[in-house]
Amino acid sequence: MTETAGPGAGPEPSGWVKSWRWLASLDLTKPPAPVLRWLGIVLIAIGYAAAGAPTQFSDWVWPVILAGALILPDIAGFAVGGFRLDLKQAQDDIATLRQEVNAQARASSVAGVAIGDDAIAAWTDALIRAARQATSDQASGAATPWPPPSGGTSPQQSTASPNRT
Amino acid sequence: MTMADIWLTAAAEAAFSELQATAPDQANAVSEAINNITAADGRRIDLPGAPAAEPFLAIEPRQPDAPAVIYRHAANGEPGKWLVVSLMNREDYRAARQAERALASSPPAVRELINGVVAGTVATADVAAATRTATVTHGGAAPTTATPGKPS
Repeated sequence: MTETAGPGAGPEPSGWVKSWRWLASLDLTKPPAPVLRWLGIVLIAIGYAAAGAPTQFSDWVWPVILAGALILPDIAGFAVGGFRLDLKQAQDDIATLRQEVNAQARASSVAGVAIGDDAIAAWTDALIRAARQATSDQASGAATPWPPPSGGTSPQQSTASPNRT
Repeated sequence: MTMADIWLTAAAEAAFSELQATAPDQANAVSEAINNITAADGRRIDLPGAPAAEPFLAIEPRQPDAPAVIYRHAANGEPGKWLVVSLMNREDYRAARQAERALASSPPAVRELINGVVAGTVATADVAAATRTATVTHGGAAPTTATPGKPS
């Protein structure tokens, strides 16, 4: 039996794409990556020593770049003159800040629900009471012109037109 | 304006009569407020149950303890131009106003939820009255309903 891809399925990724995804998913700071990286640096050094020390500057460029790339995940920070960037410290600060923000968000959300329950119940109760009275009184129907026979002060004559709100 | 421009519901009339008997100063304040209906701007109060085109309006008498006057424009088939629907206990009125203000600044979801509950509750009460079903609510608890037995 042959299985066919559904209409929503995309084309199968190529080998290069798969390899890149696999590389991107690697965490170079977790074992065994650090051991392999440092092993690579040692191998480069041994290879260069075996081949003889390069005499030209351009011969140093690629091994230095390669070694730099391999060592990059272990670099904790930079210090150039008076400027110092502590990457580890920055990472830790960001992680702490994120935890604090999340904790505050959780706390305020819980408080909102707690306040909301009582407040919503009170609002609903007040509106229901008012609405019930208005509708039940309204249901009794227009019965008497104002002022009623039982009393009530007569209005002063007014020429103002009714204002609709 | 003629006197017959303003009409009272039977319930409002009864409440006014009772007020005259028990608190004449409040009755005078209410009377003054009703007399001003045609000249004053009533504040709209969004309570379910009013005809679609004639929302409820409210005037607060000067006397702080006097009941609020709930009224609206007369609908088709009703006499006069204005109908005083109800005299609402001032505390209830203030609570409803406060709820309305609070709802206005609430998230739309909360607003819709409460409006739905209020409208549904009032509609249920209306239907219950029409079908001779007594609905009794005890202080926020779920209403208990009792329907009189039908003759077989």
